[in-house]
Amino acid sequence: MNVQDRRRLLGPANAKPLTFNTLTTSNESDELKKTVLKNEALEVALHTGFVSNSNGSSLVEVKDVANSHHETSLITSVYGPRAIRGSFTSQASLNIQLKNGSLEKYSSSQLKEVGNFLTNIFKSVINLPRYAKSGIDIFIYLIYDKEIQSNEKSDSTNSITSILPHCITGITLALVDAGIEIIDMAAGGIYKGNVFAFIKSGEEIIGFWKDEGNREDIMNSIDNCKKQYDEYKNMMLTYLVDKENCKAN
Amino acid sequence: MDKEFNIPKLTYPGQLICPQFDVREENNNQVIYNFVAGPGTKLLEYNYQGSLVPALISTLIGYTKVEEVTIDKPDSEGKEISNSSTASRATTPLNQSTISTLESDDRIIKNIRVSVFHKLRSKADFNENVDYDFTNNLPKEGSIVLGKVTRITLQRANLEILAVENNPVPIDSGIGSNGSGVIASGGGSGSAMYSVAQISSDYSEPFRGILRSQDVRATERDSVKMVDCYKPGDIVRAQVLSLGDGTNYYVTTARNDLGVVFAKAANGAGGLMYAIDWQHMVSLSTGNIEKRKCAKPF
Amino acid sequence: MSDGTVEIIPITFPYELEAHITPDISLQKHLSLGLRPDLRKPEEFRSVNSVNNLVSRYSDNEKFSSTTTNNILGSNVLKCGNTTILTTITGSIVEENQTTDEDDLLHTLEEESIEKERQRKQIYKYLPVYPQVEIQRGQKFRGPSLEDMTTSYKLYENILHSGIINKEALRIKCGVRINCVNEQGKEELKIIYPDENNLSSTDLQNVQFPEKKRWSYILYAKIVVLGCTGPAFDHCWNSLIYALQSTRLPRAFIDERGVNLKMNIRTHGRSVTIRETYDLLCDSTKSIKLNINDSAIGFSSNFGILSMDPVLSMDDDEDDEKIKQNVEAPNAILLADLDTSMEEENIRSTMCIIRNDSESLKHVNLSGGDAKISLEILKKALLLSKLRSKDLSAVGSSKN
Repeated sequence: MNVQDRRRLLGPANAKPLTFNTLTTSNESDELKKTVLKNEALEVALHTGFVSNSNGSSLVEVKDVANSHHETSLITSVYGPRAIRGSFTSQASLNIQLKNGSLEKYSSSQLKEVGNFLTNIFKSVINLPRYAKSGIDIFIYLIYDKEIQSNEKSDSTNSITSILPHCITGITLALVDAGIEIIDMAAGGIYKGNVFAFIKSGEEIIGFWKDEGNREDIMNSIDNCKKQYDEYKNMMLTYLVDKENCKAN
Repeated sequence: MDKEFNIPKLTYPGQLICPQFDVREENNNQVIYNFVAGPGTKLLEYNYQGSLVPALISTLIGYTKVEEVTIDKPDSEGKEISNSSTASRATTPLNQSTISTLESDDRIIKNIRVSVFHKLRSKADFNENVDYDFTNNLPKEGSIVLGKVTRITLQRANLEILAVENNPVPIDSGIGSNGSGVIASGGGSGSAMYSVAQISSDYSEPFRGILRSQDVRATERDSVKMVDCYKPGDIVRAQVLSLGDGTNYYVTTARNDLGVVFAKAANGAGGLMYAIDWQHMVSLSTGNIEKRKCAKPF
Repeated sequence: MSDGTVEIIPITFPYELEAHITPDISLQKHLSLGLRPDLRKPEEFRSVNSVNNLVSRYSDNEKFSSTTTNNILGSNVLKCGNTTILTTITGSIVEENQTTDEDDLLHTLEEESIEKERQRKQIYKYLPVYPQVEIQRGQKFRGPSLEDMTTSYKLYENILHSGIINKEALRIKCGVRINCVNEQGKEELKIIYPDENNLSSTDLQNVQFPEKKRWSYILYAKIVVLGCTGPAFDHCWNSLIYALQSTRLPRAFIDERGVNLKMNIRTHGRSVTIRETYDLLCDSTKSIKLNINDSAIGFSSNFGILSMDPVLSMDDDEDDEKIKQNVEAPNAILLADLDTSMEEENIRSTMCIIRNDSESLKHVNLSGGDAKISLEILKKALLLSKLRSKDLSAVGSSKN
């Protein structure tokens, strides 16, 4: 870095990051295979409303062995609607930011791109005209994001694409928790590097992300993503309705 | 009523509540029910068996509330629905055409407003006699707000809007969010080292309001002296006149029940003061009297 | 009032609203009832839950350890009330500069500054961690806020001056990777550390350990505060201590051929010998526990002092005599473990104490605001912080 960052305590400049020697013994990969086989289904844990200084928040923890081969945990917090600076706007301005967690895995430009993609998705989901001259800020904090090594070579690993569906779920839950009006529960799925986000029981596609995804078989991807969308949506609704009933009792 | 139309009690975002219109036979009259979207709902085209039907959809998780509302006879231009919120007003153009064509002698049109209320965590603590109808979070025209006076000039007072009546502004970021908090010095956050002005630039802005001198009271509007009505730090109850520009709402206190509700003596140095009439407040500890434009003291 | 010529009806608001628009009055009202806004007693701390090494490389948890291949050396998740703090310790390697040997410095100094220098020398024995605090308050502003910066700096200073991490603890005892022939007669790579007991004499003869160079670890801490509702420093500090207690350092080694690598280069007709700087690799299996000074560890607690407003705190049926008394001597009240913005905003007199459960104080910060910090209150706070420190160290040790 050329410019010294005076706002942070960076430590000595000549420090070198730790590099670990790689060990790939056959013994170890056997062990890995076992853990992969053990959890074949998608493991998801959902939780809302625990970041007390935000308006709404959610925690999504996913261990996805089937599709994205990722173990991810992310916290989404929603701030607002709150006042914005500048000129009058008749509807809310939306801003979604992602932050790297303890693992500095993704570059800031990658995160920004994903942030923009998510902003575009949720512009069509949030009932924005309801919130005049205000802003809604959503922050996603990637606590933990790790690949699960699998034996089959998958092209979607190690790219930010694989966490997109989890981000969408997280934001939807956090928005519901905040009581911000949304026209439908949004969710998405990933299939072979293609990400589709849906609303209205899969009738409307609100987002499509493709980095190095499969080019030929888009329709097949849509169908697969739709299945995941249904799965996610059901999970979210079960969680939310259960929670609401718990509160009522 | 919700049972009659099979309206779900607990809804989630995207759930279909009911179609926009429903027809019932009552006492040999055809009654047409027109459902109006209240807060927490939205009128959308819903795909039902291949055809698009306008229907009400919930936008929140929460409980539905169904009530009959009277819609003012729409004249050629007037599109005002009494009691309506911004959401329902947005849908009126759709309503207008249908209402005018359907209206005939043997038909009765009933307007039913359906709203969904999100149970905020804090709501559970509210006591019973608080009006819940201000669930909408943001100040809009006509709503009563509570604000703190931040600055006064000869022509106007600047306010920071703290809450819409009966409904605190949503939590945004804890302390310093409204730019008004002095962070406890040294209290671990090392905050003695930085000033309030810097905090507010780091965090989000509060909603601001402007109270012009001619809006302070309803009578003798020309001879209002701002310094005799408000002081910085006072908590003022006011009504929103207009959404104003990007930064400010315009508010008025030209009503008996609007004005200062909390004030401290000697520009905040003294104790809490109480209103003795609509123009004066007294400090209990010193007995000093200061001038304010008070909100209905009796 | 006693004449009753004017009857005063104060305007009342629902509780939630009053707390929002006039927090100072609401706080006073609460305390006059003996409770705080979050229904704690004045001297009650919030309970602390802490889990170590959930995401670290050297995980206690079997479920994670099999697949973890990250660079996190230690971690801690601390939950206190509604506030969650995630601390992760990462590291890097720095080659120590030989010329800044502390003993040389003393000779070049004037007499009067020797005492000062001796204190500095004391600090030379210890190393800091480099913390980076992120307090999530939903700010749009990119980069650290002032609160983040001051908290980070305070953590840095306190770690260094408490003397928690000895310089020796972070020094790398560098191993060497050699090619050797094992029992089956196959050639394999083997890493040998100088302090390992099972070294055969033949190994030692063959291996040349790098002696001229010294490396040490630099530790970084990334601290994220979620749902921050009060002063954050204490929780950051406690979480950092827990994380450091659970930190393990990887063994590092160098390749055999890098031990004494020299190059002769001719430039402009002169012959120069360049020692190649050789990067150390970390052993992905072997690690040692970070050795920290247990006696130097303290836990942090904060207090606020608020003087009660005599007018607001009086009861309706209190007689005038008592009111008079109250007015004359406003009594101050000590609040432990400040939380909620209501308290943070209105309490200007605060204390922050880092200490252990015996007699040693590590850090005391008093800042006087509107309420006077009397000796009595100070004693009480010191006692409470001692008890708190005992509790917190128990939380830490039970998890390890």
